[in-house]
Amino acid sequence: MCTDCGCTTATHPVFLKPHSHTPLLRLTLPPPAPEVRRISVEASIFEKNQRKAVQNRTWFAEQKLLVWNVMSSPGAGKTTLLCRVLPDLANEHPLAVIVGDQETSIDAERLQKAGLQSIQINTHAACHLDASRIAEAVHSLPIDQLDLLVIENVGNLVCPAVFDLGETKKIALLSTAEGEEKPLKYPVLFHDADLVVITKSDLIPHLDYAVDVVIQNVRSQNPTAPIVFCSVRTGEGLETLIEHLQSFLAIPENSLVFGDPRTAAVPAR
Amino acid sequence: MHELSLALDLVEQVIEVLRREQADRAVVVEVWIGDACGVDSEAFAFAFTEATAGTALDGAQLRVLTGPDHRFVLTSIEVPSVPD
Repeated sequence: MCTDCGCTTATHPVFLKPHSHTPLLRLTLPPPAPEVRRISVEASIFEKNQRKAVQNRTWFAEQKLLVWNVMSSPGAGKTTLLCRVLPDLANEHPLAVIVGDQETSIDAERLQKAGLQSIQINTHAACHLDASRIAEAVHSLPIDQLDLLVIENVGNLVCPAVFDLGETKKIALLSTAEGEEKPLKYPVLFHDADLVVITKSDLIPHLDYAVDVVIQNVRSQNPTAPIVFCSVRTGEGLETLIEHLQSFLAIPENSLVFGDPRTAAVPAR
Repeated sequence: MHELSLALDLVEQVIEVLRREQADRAVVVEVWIGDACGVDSEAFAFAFTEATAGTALDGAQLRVLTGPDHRFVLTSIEVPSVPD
């Protein structure tokens, strides 16, 4: 009689003799894990790009160069808008544009035709520009003569939002043709934007488009960034947009923001 | 779409830690993928398998923690306490 298998209360003769306590059905347990040592690291995986972005940001500040990162999905009208508004700013503030696309130099050529100094980066397989690409590209520009560098990112609402380039301001474009829900579906880009431009506003009467809904959706991600509706085709809203851009150019140097929330480590749990 | 390049960055980062800690390989890699950091956990797990193949992280288990923030962090790794 024993306490191992409940045979203390059993009366069957088998339990009265010495017997095995091996269960008939053994639960199969994984082999014991090898002894391991846990090493706490707590370092951002964005660090490699981030380190370069911080270098860029520091260098841009030293050069007194403002840098805007313009992002949207493909076809929202980044190049068209830049061709229209940047020449107005270029009169007072020498500027250049770096434009990223997977292939072709179509956009750089369009910007050049608009009288803008521009260079093309082809990312080939990559879906975004990263800080190293920008660091390489700026060296072919006369940075010491420029006030402003505009980076037209690869058309993509997902990846460019994640890669800090060292920019001073992030500008998000969203065309009316894309509907009202993109800020909810691709929140990171809209959350981080310093200015949200709703392009192709001339299409609003032709679309089933709710202006109040898109504003509400942007606001749910970003309570403070100015939202400007405009159309290059009709000129509507462009004056307001240029005013906002000019206010970005008036940023005092000492207010350049260093660092990025993504570099912060997870607090110890 | 950018998960593979980030997975490659992670491999580099872990190998640096292994070197510093004089460890041969990692058996567990624990990451924090904040839900607003723009990295998809599933795509990252797939990219991790690809990126670690043939490295000191080959076969390591990827443990993913998450929370409502922007962070994408290598939180810790586990290495055999007795070198192989």
